Amino acid sequence: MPMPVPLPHSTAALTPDIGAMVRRAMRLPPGATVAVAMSGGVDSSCVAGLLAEAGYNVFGLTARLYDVDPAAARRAGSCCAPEDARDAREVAQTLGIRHYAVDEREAFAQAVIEPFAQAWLGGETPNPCVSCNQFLKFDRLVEMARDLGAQALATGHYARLELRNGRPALLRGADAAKDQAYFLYPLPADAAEFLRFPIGELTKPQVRDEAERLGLPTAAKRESMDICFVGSEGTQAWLEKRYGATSGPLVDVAGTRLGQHAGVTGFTVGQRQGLGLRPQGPQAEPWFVVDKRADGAVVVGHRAQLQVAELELGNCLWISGTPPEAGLDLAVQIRHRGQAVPCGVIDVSADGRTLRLAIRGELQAAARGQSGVVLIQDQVLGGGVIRSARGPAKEAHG
Amino acid sequence: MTDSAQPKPPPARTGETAAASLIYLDYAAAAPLCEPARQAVVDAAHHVWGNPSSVHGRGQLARGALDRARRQVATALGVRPGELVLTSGATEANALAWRGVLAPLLAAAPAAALFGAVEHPSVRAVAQALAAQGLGAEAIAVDRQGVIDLAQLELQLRNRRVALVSLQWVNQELGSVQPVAEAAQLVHAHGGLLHCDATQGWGKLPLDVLAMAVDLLSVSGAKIGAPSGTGALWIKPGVRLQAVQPGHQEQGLRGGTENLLGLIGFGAAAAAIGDRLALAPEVRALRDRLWAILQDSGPVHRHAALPEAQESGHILSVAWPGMEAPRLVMAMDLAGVAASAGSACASGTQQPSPVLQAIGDSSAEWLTLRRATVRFSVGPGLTTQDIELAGERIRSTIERLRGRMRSPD
Repeated sequence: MPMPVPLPHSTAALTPDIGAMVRRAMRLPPGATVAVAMSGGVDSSCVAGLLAEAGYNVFGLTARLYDVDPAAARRAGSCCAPEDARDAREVAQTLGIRHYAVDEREAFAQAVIEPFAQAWLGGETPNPCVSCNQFLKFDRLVEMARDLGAQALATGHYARLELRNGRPALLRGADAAKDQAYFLYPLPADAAEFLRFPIGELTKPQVRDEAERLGLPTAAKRESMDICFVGSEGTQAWLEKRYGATSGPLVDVAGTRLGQHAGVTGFTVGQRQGLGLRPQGPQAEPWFVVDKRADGAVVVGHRAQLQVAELELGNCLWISGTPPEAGLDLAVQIRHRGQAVPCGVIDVSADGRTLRLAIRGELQAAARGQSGVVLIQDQVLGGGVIRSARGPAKEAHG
Repeated sequence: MTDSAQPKPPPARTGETAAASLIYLDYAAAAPLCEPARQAVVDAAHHVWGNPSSVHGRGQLARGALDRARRQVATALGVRPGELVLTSGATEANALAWRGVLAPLLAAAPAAALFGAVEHPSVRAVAQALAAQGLGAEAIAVDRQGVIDLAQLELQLRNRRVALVSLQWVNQELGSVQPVAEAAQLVHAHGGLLHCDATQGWGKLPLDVLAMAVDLLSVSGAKIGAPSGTGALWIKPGVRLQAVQPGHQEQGLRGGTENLLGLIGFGAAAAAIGDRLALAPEVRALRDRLWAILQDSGPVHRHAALPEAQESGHILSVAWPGMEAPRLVMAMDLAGVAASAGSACASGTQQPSPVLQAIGDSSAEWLTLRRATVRFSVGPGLTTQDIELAGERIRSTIERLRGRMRSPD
């Protein structure tokens, strides 16, 4: 069946026939059974509402991911806490659809929380939202939705999934300010065929308007940028509460000891504040964290040493199943909301799991453990975890 | 008995599915409101209000309605109205029995109490709470059918002085009947009191409280077609209890203005308990029909398949090895059948059902069955057609899931 040609974003924003956009993103006839992963936030609430309105047979799934510390339980806005599950249930009741809470605490602790903590303690900068998508949403929730007889699982991500020549293509969301394609790169092809992102063509203000029009109780809910299970206390405090402070030496790139730091969890590559070091040299160059070593040492250097010319990604996953070929005009994005920087393939391992990229633009502060996502224009091909980064002068700083 | 399960017309159109005509097979969690109870509550909602403790005419009207409800419940149980404490349900009645008997004893000296290993979670919860205050609380072991071992009970009674024993009449997940009268004799011979949670048996089996010779008995309105949030504790004359929630109401044993409308419904449902009991053979036949259909659903195991006299006839607990019960319950709901994994009070978590834990062992085989166990429970209002349709829906759900297990796509 030929796919309708997607409208350019600007036109879509001017003529928002939202129902048509949603139906196009669904690629299923009305009446089809669709599971919606409902976090209790406005985005997934809106997805459930729009799909129910479009005539799909919708049911909601909310994963209970972790136990909430009673002291922190009153804070609002994080994803998948008990109150968010209640919000999801209320939205489902408003819509007259079924809603099920599923207990995924064990899987989440194992696949997301524990690796997150271990990565930090090992000097990496992990991205738990990526692992949550990979192991919870793309795996367990997809499986659950299939078991329950759904023909698709829809989520409230700001990204688009299209079929191009019959193969799924993951594209950035139409709302550049909200685009979440970065978090979605470890998407296996079979999950990509089953998943739908019905609000990928919409902007956040449109989503809020639609949620309000549908009378959803979450329409005005504020959103949080915190890591859900860490919450507003922040990663450093969360880690220190559980593992204690892991103090260690501050060293320069040559390995010379410059001082002591109070805990490796308090530092991120690229950070300038809180080092307690005086600017150095005649130009009074400020110090930055340029690396964190697995032995607990925090490596500091100057701005030039944050520059990345070459990036190695490990554990790579490719939506099509095969890594990009050399010679393509690629771009790499190393953080959510970060710029995608032009790059080219230096080499790929035989299994496609390790990729070295030559950076052809301005890229700074690549921390080990962060996700490096590889794109062609606005299409995500896949990506991996940053293993190391080299500066232009060939000194390794990762 | 079908249920549209739509609290209000949805603003957004949802697709037509089997779920639109949900067949309700979860009577053990809560039975649908029976017609006499519905009628009584609706009538009372028009003109009965006020505080039953007030002196004036408005209060007297409320008091009159409450007295009538109390008498209806008492009559249905074959006891006197003044021996009842009306509560918010069996959980509160169970807690009142335990705390009411044991708290004054514990204040003076160490005390001990026993409970059947498959009692309702509310009994286990209060036992645990009192254990933290020094109570020696022990479970009485059960067999594969969930029935307690009387010899073990006697041994436990010999080992230490036991003030209170809780033994349910009918198990909430298996339908097994406990030897309550025999246990009461043993307990009395050792100078203790016997509390019976009769929640799941009432309305399914003929009840004779005095012949059972128990000292305290809990019942719940929700299981006999009354509104949820209603129940009662019967206290044998001469048994002394301390209030858990002090106040002048309910002979000083349960403070707080009474749940007037709910209890009016409870009284009406209790007054109709004879009709309910008369339907018990039909209900049993429906349950047996469902089992006959499900036996055709490939490898399936039935828990506590007991002779007719030893089970309540309204519960069917089955396991499809290899399946996950929480997922099954969701899939069946979407297919139009309401069932539960374990009792409603034990679900909502992935904690294994304490009942299935108590009747089983730690073999891999048993764990497989335990994980895959679904409880169906039936009652008045269901028809043979409902059961046939439900059976078909369940069978096709199982078949679909089996197909997915063989070749996950």
